[in-house]
Amino acid sequence: MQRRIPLIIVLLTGIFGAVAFFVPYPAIRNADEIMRNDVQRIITAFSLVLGVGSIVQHHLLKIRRKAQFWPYSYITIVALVITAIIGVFGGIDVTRPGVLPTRVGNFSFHIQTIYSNMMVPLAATMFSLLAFFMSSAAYRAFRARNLEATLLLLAAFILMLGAVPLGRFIHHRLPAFAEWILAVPNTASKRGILFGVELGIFATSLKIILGIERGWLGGGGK
Amino acid sequence: MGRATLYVPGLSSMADVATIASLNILGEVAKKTAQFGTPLIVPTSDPIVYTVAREVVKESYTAAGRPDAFHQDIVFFVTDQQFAFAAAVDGIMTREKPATNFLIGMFWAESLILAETGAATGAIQIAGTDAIAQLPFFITACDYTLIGEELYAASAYISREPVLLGAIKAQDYAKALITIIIVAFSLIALGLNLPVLKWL
Amino acid sequence: MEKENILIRLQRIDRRWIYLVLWLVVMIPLIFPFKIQPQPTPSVEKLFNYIDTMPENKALAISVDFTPDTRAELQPMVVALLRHAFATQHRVGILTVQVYGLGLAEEAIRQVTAEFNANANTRADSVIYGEDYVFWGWTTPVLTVMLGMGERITNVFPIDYYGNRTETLPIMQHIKNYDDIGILVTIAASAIPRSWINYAQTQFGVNLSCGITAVSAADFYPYVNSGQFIGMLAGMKGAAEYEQLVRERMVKNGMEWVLRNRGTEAMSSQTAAHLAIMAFIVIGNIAFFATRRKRK
Repeated sequence: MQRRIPLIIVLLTGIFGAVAFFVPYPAIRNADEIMRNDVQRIITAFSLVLGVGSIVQHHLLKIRRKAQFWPYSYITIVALVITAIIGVFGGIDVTRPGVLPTRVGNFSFHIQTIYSNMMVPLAATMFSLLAFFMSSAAYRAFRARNLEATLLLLAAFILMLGAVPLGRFIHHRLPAFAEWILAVPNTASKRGILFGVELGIFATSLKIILGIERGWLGGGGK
Repeated sequence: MGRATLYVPGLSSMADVATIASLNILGEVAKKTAQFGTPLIVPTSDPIVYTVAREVVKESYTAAGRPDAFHQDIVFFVTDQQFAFAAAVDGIMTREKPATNFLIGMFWAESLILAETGAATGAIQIAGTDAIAQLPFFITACDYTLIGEELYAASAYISREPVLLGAIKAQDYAKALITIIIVAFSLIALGLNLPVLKWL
Repeated sequence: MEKENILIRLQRIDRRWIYLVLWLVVMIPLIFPFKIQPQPTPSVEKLFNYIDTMPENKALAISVDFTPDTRAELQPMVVALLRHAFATQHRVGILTVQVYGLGLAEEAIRQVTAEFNANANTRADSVIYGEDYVFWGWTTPVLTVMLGMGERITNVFPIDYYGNRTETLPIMQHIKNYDDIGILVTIAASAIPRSWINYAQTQFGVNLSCGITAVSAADFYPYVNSGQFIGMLAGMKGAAEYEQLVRERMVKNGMEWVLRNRGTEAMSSQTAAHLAIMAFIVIGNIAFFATRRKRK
């Protein structure tokens, strides 16, 4: 019974989701809107509670057990609590203050300040690491070991040349050729993989809706 | 057996079939780590994925006869922010130095950040995704990579269930059919010089 | 022997040296930039021309679907699109399906509206909230937004980002659903553009285009070729090319203002980084072949 109820829910909602996509009948449309607008939103909101609960529990356990690097857990919990309090009670920015005073003289620490001055630069730093990792990966991996590797190397080289003004100086049609590599051979191979992927998604979705695939319920499908 | 196994089930939600396929594989990985007493670390970036992953791991530990080895700390939610999650997982990789990293599921631009950090720590890395643009990064930085549909095939294959394995065969037939249709229509288009060829 | 040692060492070079070289190569052109004139590629031109020739009663919708981490690469696209829409007198609706996109969208709106209003002489020249543009804000889940906007936008976003009832805004009399949107451009660093195709385009036939990070660009070429996306802006280069076209358009319209084009500004740095990576590949291969020959 513990398994059967979730499987029935999946079967019914799965079939309904597919039907609602194709049938424009008003009753089905309305029911679909309730599912999307209300049910999904409620589930999403409650899932946030689960997430916050997990992160707090994980770090409290680390602190209690004095696990390796446990002092960092204090940073996470303190940051979480302060940001949540400012976010809920401190208003959005200077023009829209909240109940909590978030201004000392000219310095304000409302949620927009945290967002613009902490989150944006921290996240951008992480993304910019990609350039470093990409160059080191290119240095190690792009070796003309065999015919396939040489072709890969040549294609990458032409694409990079096409992206810089130097490419135009070498040959005026080089950027167009680089674009052609992306748009034609690259797209063709991608479509080949995409067919396989989409068929895999279709088959897996069907197996889940029909209850054949149950691994996601736990217990490895038994 | 002292070093941990890190399993990242991607950054997408349960609405993504790649995540579901990844959780199926996680179930089998968790059984093995339970059998050998290897520590398992499963950071997640979606609260619902976290809940499901926890249940999957818990059931696997029970199925492996080691329910006592399961603890709440194995699976945890980190953040739903893409690069904050990458930073947290990179931190785990450099601090805990796992022996094996599984990066299986849906990944985006953070794929190389995760895979390169893992490579730098000397871990054996197994990746799998149907995000085609991320495949070159995984192939470069990981030891083994499941490409596109192999992720779904692995998920079915690992379970050894005949019904699930049958679906792989059905997919192959469908692919053969699509290939025949593409070749046939391409030949017709070429023969009749249809305008569809103009964009080439 | 000495030469061989250098080649072997080059093969196993500590990756931190590569990081250092790249850091210098990126930083120096940012401090001492050299001028680069972006040459628009066909996919960028296609999007530009579509918006440029769109009927005036059709609105441009911009979905700011990225997070702060990709701001440097993607924010110039939002700014350039807003400038283009205001310069060609199209109504604009802005939304986000990523909660973290709210701040980024607001930042771009504030910047571009300030630019236009600072140079406006009459009320007709200025851009007014609720009449010329609207910021619908964010709501969840993604599916609700994409499907719901096809029926009635005010149902999906009953209240805008600034707390106004969207029904009371004059602009909403002209933008009821996808039928009133000429094109929706999603700016993202994830698979969200694909979801826009799957739900919004498949069901309601809305015209779409996308701006994405260079690292994900290859993923979207199949959709550009099939016509599901009307052109595409790929990475900083795409942003710089669009900026170039918008700049030319604004000059044509008599708007010879001095504006910062952050995409174009970063091109010198990006060009230098590309050249450095190419040099790394060449050096790596020379070392690889030289040591392999020695071993034989």
